Amino acid sequence: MTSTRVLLVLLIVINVIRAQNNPVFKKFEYKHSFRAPNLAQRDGSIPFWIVSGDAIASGEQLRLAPSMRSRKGIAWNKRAFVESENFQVDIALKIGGQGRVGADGLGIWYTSQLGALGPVFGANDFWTGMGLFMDSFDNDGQKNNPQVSLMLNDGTRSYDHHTDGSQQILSSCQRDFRNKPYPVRVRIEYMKNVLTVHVDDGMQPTPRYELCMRAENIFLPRNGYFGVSAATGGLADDHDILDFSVFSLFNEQQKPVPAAEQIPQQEKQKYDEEFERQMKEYEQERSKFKEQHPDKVKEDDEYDPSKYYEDATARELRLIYESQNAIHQVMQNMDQRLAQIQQAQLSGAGAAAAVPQTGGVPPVSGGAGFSQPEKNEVITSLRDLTQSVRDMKQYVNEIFTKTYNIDQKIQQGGGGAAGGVDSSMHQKVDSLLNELRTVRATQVQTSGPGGSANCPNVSCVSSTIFMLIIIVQSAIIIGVVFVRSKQDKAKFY
Amino acid sequence: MRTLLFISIVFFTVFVSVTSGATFAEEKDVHDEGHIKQHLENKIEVEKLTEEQQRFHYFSMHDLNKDNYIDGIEILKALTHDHGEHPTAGPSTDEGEAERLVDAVLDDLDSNGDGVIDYSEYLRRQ
Repeated sequence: MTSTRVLLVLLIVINVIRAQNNPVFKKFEYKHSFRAPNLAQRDGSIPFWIVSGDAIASGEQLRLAPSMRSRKGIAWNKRAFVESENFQVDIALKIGGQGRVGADGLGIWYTSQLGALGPVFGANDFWTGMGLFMDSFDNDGQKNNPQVSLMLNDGTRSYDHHTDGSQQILSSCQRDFRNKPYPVRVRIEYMKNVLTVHVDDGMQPTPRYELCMRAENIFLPRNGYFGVSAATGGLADDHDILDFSVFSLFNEQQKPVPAAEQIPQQEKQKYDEEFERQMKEYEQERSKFKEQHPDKVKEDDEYDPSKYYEDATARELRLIYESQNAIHQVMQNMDQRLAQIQQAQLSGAGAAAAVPQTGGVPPVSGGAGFSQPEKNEVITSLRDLTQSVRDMKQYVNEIFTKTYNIDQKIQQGGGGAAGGVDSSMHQKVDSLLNELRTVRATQVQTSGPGGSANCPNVSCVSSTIFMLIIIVQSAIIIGVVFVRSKQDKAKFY
Repeated sequence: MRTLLFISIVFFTVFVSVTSGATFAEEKDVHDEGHIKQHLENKIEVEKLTEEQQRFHYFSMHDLNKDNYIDGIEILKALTHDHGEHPTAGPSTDEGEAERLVDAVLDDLDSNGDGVIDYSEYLRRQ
């Protein structure tokens, strides 16, 4: 008896758990969606949607508001969302302009009635349902824009633009969604009265969703209408929607199609394999064709998001992003290397610490962070350094002596040039002197025997006669000089 | 009164015959080699396509966003698209009619009911 009860309780518990962990079944709802390429039909309409205001639907995008002042445009789904209570909306959008700041913003709506043109990001105020705003402009000066905010309304409240609805919004997150190289993706999920919003950063072609907000106990109107709107003010951005995909969500029990009708796994696998094979073949063919006819390959109608976006500013931005990414990568590499080095050092220090204990070498206080080979290297390099310093010293000494010598030589050279003549003169004078001395010596020897013997054979001239002769001679010379000078004077007249 | 009725009947029959002329993934569409070749122009060298290739390229050319699924939007575009043979085609497909056509295709092909046709679902019908 008790065992059956326990079993029953267990079964209930299991069922509850299963109900909670039920995989969600997702169905694409084309009647509530639109997507580039060929977003609009030839006449500019979108099937199942109303486009009004300044909104323009073209093949590549739905431009809700162009980058001109004070424009507003809306697009609303004509069909009410009756397929399920729960939904998921994937939106790819592009908001951007030349200015550093943009305005006003873009709204994504799920309302109980069709929307109309109005003041809340292009759509009407006093709505019933949900409005998700991509608010570019900071009206309240809180420096928290661009932000993504969610506001619920029961049809009685008016959105307060001056405060960016800060008192009214349910939740918000600050995200820069302007001027991104790729479309920014927003995913809104409403399942079991839990509303979650994920926003992608628009930095790469494959979306990278990050949670922006999550709110529980949300009750949205049933059978509502999806809509989008945008408005510009004094500042203006382009507000484009590229993809608006609505999925209805079901629990496994609510699944509209029984599993029996599904394709058996094996068969499906076979088909998938064939598809893969064909796809590969096609890719190969295409690349071959591109090589063979590079001129014929032109921009075709294939979906290539970057094609729709790349204007001058976007390109510039993309280049900046790419270079930043490259820098980032290099820095990451450096970081990695640094970590490696640090690790190596730590292990080296451990080894160094272990060495003194075993080898008995006194620990070096400075060498805590060095490994043994590094130390050796440092020592050898130091040795090299001292050696080279020594060499340098030698050179300097050499240079010094050489310059000293040169200096000396220059000084000697200066004296030598003058003394070269002098020395030869000197020698001559010396030799003359020597000769004079020998002459004198011989003279002294010859006149050695006596005073009278000075002029032994010659009759000596008396000093008075000698003096007389000198006086006469000098008188004659003076007279001659006098006469000559007189003659000069006469000549002068 | 009678003439009005007559006119309306004629109009209705013409309208239906025009719109119901658009089909998706029927035998004649899938093997419409001329049309497929038009799409493959300047992409690959086409001489002769095998049946398998025809099937693949028909699927691939309608998978506009290249997510390997064909959804309702793409079916609708497949049904309404042309290559400029009718440049003065008036207002685009009537929505009710479009809905009927697309739903018919989805009912037919989308066996797991996720709103999109994958390649296995598509091939199974061929």
